[in-house]
Amino acid sequence: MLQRAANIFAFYKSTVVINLACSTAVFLISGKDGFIFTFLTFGVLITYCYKHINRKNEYVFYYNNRISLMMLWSSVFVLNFITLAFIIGACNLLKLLF
Amino acid sequence: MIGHVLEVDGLQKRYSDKLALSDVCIKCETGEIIGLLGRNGSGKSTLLKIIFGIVDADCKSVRINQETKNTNKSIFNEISYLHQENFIPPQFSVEKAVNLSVEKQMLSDFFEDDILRKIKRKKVSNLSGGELRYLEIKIVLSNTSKFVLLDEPYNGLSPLMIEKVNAMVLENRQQKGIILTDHNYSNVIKIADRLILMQNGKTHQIKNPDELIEKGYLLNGML
Repeated sequence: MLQRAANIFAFYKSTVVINLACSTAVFLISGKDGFIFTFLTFGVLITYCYKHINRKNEYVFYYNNRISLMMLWSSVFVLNFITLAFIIGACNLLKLLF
Repeated sequence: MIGHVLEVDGLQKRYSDKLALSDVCIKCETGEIIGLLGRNGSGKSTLLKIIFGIVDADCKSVRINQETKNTNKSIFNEISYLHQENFIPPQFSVEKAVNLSVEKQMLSDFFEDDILRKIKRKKVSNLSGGELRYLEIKIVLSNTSKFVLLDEPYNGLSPLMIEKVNAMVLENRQQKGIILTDHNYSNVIKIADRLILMQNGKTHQIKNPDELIEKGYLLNGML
């Protein structure tokens, strides 16, 4: 169970970097709402396409560890909400402090 | 040890109007190694991908112990697969890739290996082609699945590594059923208990290696 969670988290880390890069670019143009919307939608879609085109073989690593494609991407979707809550919380805390 | 049986039949795969696979029939029991031979484009890799469930077939029947396996989840629990191309994420360290794949109680045994001990702290992206292939084979064979599909395991391996891989495959045969395909036919013939030749998308059971010459896969003197 722990090993499975570690696999999902490792996969998530490889997606969130690309997603954050896309979302930050949108943030610079359209602000906070654009960031949130992109992080939960288009950022995930772009990451999915990137993985599907450039890193498709890597899925086999997770399949061998008994994690399906559906499981990987549904976990990414859920973890994105948690990450977003963390980012918003951190930003609010910084606002309070400074 | 309880024996398990993997059966594949009724398989058909078309690419546009071309029939890539048909009349495929494979039965693999735990404790045996099946060598799958065939020319380039004969459908060997596609067949393994279809069995593992990562390529769709027009129709197929994959059964383990007479139970049909329709979902990826049920297949991933029972079959592990060595992809033809490298598949370990390159940003991982060797240690991390192993920790994510191998059960905790097997970890110390896993690294009791000259080659792996040397590369344990390296990043996967910094490994040579042979080292990476060796790592992938060892990870796939260490999986607790009942069946293993090995697609071109000898690719990029030095002769010494090939001997080590053969020893590893033979050792794992005791608990697993293994289907192995590679163009290095001499090693396939050497370790396989049974041979299957793929020609024009069909499987042919080979009883004697000489049949490989009769069927035009090898030339006289190549055995």
